[in-house]
Amino acid sequence: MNSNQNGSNVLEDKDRELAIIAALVALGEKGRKHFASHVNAALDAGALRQEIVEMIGTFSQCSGSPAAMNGVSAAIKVFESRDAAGVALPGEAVFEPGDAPVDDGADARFERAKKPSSTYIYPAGPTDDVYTSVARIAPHVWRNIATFFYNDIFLHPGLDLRTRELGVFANLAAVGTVPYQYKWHAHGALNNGWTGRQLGEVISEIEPFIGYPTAFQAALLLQEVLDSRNGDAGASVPEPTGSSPLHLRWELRFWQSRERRRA
Amino acid sequence: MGAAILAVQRASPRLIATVNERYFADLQCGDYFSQRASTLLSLASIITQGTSNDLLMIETRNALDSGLNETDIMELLKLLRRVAGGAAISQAEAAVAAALSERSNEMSLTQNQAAA
Repeated sequence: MNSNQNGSNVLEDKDRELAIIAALVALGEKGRKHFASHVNAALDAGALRQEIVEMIGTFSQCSGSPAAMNGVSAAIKVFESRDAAGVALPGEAVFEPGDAPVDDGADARFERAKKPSSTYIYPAGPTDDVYTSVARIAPHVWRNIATFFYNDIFLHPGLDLRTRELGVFANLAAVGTVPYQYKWHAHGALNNGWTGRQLGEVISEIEPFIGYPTAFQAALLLQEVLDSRNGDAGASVPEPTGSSPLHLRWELRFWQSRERRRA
Repeated sequence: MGAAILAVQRASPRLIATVNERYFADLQCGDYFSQRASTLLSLASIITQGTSNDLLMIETRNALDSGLNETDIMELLKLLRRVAGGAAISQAEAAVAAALSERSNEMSLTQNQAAA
């Protein structure tokens, strides 16, 4: 289905399908029946297999590692079925090799992890009670979460930050029970080139799968985020990073030091 | 509660439009179930899903306005406890209590204005 057929042109087909996949991953086996068709649609719309796998892997720290593991496994089955049927698009299996920078010790990983969370995702810092209390009382918890999520996962090659944030937004919207994190990543998506209108459209697109109450709450919280940003006249809002991959923007030296090959 | 719907409409206009079209046309105005049964089904599904207190408050108000009473809703919560789980029911009880309180305050205000 293209953008115009369903009455909306604010999202590209690829982004729409990736957002739906993100929501379906959060639903686990409940969403499995719809999963294959949307993975196929995402690939047909130009997504790479690696982007899908990388995005689902990100959700290990959102809707949880079991759902992410099962999601990756289900996606791989779709890839295999496309290969078997001979319907894979040229280039969809292109794989960008490499790893996140994980070999230089825990301190370096944590320091690096602070950058996306403080610069690109929530520049004013997640200042609600959840973050401040965890950072104050149990700093090791925040350290562990941030290090793994924002260094090991976010800096892994294969998916740009903008798309990763779209996926996290849709995934947490589907989870429906983590409003603080959802709002943080609504900011993250807005800070990385998505508009409020596009995020609202994501909610409309995933509503048939996640249900109206969950979608309703997601829209309500999104509007809170949008209102708060209008209220501060953008003082805490950084320049959008657009579609620039995070690793090209600030870990340039690291990535330049690696041989980057496309199979 | 009108503010909540307006906020959702601002954030995601198509969400409200499509749901109004589908949900209210198919469920609320369907002729297979009675209005009472439809309302109870709506409430039961929102309570069981347990992801939107705001929508539950709105639908509780709608239910009361369409003829259900407080006992109906409390009995529904009691029946659903084993299905939805205690966590969802505790959350729903808070939302229902807030909706009842809000409605009661509005009715008092209306009565006072009428008396004056």
